[in-house]
Amino acid sequence: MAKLTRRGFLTTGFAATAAGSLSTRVEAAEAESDALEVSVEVDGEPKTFRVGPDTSALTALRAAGSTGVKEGCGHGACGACTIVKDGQTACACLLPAVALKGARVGTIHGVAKGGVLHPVQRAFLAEDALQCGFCTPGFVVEAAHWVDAWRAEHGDVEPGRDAVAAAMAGHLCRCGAYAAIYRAIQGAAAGRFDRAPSKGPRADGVPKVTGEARYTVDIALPGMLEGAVLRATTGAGRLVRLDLAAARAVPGVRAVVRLAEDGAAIRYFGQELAAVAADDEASAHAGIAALAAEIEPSAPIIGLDAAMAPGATEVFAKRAHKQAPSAAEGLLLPTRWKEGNVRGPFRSDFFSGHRKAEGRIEEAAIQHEATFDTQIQAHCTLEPHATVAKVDGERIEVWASTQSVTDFQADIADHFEVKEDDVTVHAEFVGGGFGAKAIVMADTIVAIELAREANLPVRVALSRADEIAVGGNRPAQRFHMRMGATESGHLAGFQSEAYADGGVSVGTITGFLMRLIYPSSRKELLDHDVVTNSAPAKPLRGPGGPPAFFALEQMVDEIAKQRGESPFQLRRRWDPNAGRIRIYDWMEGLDVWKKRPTGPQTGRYRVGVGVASAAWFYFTQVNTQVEVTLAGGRITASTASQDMGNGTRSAIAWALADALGLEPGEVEVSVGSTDAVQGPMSAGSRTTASVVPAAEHAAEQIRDALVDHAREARGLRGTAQRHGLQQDSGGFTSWKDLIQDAPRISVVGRRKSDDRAFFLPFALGGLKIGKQSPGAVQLTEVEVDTWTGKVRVTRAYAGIAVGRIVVPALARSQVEGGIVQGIGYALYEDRRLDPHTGVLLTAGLEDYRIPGIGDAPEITVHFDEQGFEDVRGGGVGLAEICTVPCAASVANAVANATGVRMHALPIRPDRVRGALA
Amino acid sequence: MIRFPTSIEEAATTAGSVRAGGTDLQERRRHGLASGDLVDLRDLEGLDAIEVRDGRLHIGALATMADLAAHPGAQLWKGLVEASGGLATPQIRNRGTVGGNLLQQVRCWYYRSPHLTCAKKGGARCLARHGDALNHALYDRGGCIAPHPSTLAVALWAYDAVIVLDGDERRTIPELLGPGREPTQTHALPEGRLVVGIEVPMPPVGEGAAYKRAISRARAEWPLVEVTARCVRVGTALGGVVLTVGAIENRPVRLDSLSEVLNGAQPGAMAGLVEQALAEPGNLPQTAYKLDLLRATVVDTLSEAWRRAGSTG
Repeated sequence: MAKLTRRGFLTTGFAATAAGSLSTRVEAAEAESDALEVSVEVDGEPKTFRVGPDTSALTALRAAGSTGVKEGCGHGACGACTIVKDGQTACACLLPAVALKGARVGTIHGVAKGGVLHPVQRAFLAEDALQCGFCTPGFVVEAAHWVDAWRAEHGDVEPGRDAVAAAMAGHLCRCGAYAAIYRAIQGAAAGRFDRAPSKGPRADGVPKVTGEARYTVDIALPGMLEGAVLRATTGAGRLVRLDLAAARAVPGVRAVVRLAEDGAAIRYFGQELAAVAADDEASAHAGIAALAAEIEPSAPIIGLDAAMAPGATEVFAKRAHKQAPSAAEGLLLPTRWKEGNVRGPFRSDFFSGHRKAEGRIEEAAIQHEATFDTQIQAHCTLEPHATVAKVDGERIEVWASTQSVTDFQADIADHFEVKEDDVTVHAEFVGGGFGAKAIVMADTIVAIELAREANLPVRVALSRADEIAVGGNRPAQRFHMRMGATESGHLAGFQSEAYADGGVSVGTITGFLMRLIYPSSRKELLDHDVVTNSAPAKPLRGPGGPPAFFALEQMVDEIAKQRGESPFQLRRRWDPNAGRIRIYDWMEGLDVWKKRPTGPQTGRYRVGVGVASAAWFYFTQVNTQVEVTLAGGRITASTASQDMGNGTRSAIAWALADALGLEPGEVEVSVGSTDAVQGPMSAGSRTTASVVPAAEHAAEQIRDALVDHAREARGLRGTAQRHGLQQDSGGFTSWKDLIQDAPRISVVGRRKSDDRAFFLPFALGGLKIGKQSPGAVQLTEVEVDTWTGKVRVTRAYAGIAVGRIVVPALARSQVEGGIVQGIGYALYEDRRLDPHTGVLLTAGLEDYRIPGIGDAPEITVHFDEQGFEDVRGGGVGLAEICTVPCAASVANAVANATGVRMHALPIRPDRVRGALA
Repeated sequence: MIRFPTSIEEAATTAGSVRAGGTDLQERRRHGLASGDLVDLRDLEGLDAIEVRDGRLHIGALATMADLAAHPGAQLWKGLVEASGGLATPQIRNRGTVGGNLLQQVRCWYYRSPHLTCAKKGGARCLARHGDALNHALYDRGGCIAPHPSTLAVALWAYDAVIVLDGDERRTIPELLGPGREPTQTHALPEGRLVVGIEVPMPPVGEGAAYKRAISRARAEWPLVEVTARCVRVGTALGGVVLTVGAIENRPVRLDSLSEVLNGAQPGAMAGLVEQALAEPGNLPQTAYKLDLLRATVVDTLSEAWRRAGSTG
């Protein structure tokens, strides 16, 4: 069943990837049996709900059209469903709908009164306190409620960060927009946003702060069925049988699809076995139960040690290796399988003098050797993977939470063997991606198959448990590192031998990343994939980067420490990147650095400052187009891309506004449908370097057309300047002026090649790798409680060298969010499976711990905008580079504070205590 | 079937799972860990009052965590209001009731998984004991090794609170929760009985008290260790020390022998005495680290209580 798709990743049909529901939901089933009537006032309007005893207020409100109330976790941890009930906030997911009897309920839809935004909404817009926007309604409801109460009690006094953190403790933002959320709430409470504009820098901010933004999970088509997926509930074993006929006989069930044959191997918890579509969720789950899956479990291989133990059971039996899907973002690079569960090594060290590395290290004046272990991190987007599919003969229409409408279109066309033109994909709003939603997963294929069989639209969405189990993850890694430095402090060489636990998937490469920095040494860079009984890994924001630099940058820090020299001084000698060197200069001037603790500390609480650098790739999708239409005095732009909070709409709006002398708010941008011209995937930090040059090319054509228009309609002749027409007669007419009465003009801008050559002469799936490398440096201050082992990040400083920044507010947001995610990776996040059964243990947001607002430090972001003049548009993406050095920087700070080095992530209290003991 | 009883008698005599705020029960029902008929206390009036009367704090079982944390009269019981104001999240505290907090189920990831049958669910063995027990008890005393989930039980025990059941029967916290040797038993309230309220004796004048928990993130996390401490100042020395601890066994623990050692000691000697007295190493492979957290949290909480204590001469 395995096939290699155009872009080079392997899919084993869809059995190797993912979808559906691991939680046994009984809520809807009981709702049917016992209809209770509840009268309630929602946002001032009287409503009557008919509900069951277990129906949640969330289900009832969403069914009644309040879709701004979002389900993030379903167990009261994330707060996306927060409403106000009788003057108090509550999580609607845990609130029985019957409790709403006679209640006054306020939702996100009632926060703005009479179309006038609440100061908190204005503050969120002005400070850009949101990215994907999925958690935003919950934050806004809570914050508006709290700010009103604060101002009534204290007047317009600015609350401290701690008060805000306490008030917002019941909310989680996966994009990590906390730094801006602090600013917004503190400012709103102090009365600074009462008259702020009802628009901010983010082009699609308003529908996100009002709850009007419609995500895939909010799509409801007439006659739509609910899909559910039967998943393996054990990490390894064999599917003995399924009773499809019994499922088909369940009342309300309209379609049943088998996803694994009887006798098929089960290789991970959550693996898809079958799917059912039914009139409602309850019937769908009844259908799943009727399948009566018989599974013969066997002992799973969980973790690197188990997989590499002598005589370990092979996760893939002989010749089944090729069924392993790819965890890589681009091509799956070829290498050989070793015996057992190990594939590789893949060498990234060609032309790197790898044969001499070991010798150089051994004769070096300073040598260091260490092993580093990192954990599995889940993408855990707040909007789960979700698809709504509608099939009409050959025509397939899909609404999907995706990072690429065009790739989904192509992959769906491939899979179902129809023409691309017959497939339409929509994704107007996407609640986070981080790499998890770049390729078609089983939820999408299953929804289409069910829709085709039932001849009705079908929705399939993952639960939170599904999302953490199979929605995507960053592999756990182990690095054996050796590094040597010469007497004069030069890098003699280093070796990295890496092993990645990508579950059943392969293709994790970190050696390439370690080549991007410190070029002058001898390097030996080996990567191995180790297959285990865990769901396939996927690219996660800077795939391979955070673990690779966690290992590499701690090695560098250790060498600097052993030499007794500043890590900046050492890196200046090793690192030729001009952008990073300018950032070193900036950071050395910061007070936090100049006043850093030096020498051993003795108290209970110890403060440390750490530094780590990172390098990354510059990607651009050269087939990107942006269509710009001028009509009736208005500028609209569109492209078949999507905005998952990364700011695709805003980048286009700002680039066009800048090129035409307009305000960004005057440009309307439409993304999220394949009906538009070819747009980029939102992955690999490519958006800015793809859409901005295309938008600028469109603007040039609009200007040319406006020059003609000026001559023909107004008799003005002259030359085009930046913001208007310099008339030969001496006058000046702005483009803005000319736009007002211009005829309809429609142009398509293209992303032309850079002046400087690309790294590879050809494009991979439209993607080109540039020669210029983005750089980042993070300086982190931590406080370590040596009694409890608790680490708190108090301040973080990011220096980012990616050239021109197109939308400063959004760029800052993204860096702040990357740091927060990096802190989650460094200190808290850890996806854990039961070692005996392979069952997911961290099945919700209580146990899978992403950072909350109280964990976000004060963050300072510095952009170095020089050095990318060769790149069309003048700048490249920063989405990944900003999170890559974070864990290393935190670990180096902990080492500075305590004198002990942390070799494993996350840096938990027990590990810190263990290291100090 | 769901019933909405309007009197305590009706509520106590109606068969089914009792639902107050629902913050724990709803998640368990959704995942199939609980099922059957519901007795929803929505229409039961008069059980949410909090008042100070006859030298005692009376808390209705349906008072919420937020009510208790903010109640002006309750502020004399600082360790209790801090506990109720410091657990979970603002939204959960607005909805979760004191009765529900005492009677909720454990947070163990094996118990919460719909795909596994642990000893608490009637299975043959405790899966955590032989599996991944990173956040579990420091001391395995048999039975289930998940920490008891009730923060209020820890705080209320420190205040020698009495739990009032329907029919005016009374229970201490240890009596309400039972000994914890039977893994299926998270509390010992018989079916058909209802917690209607809590009475808490008045603390001595000048007492200082505090509640603290050790967690890995800044907020909103189940405790790795939690402590309620009470003390008075006797001259420059500690007196009237009471310490209760949660999350180190499957029941709250009261450290009375440590309190005896601390009474009469100078606060500066506290850390040393705590380290000496709390010396039993953990007996589970992954949670030995909790001993350090226990010592630190006891010292932190008692130090805070000391700072708050007024001089009694």
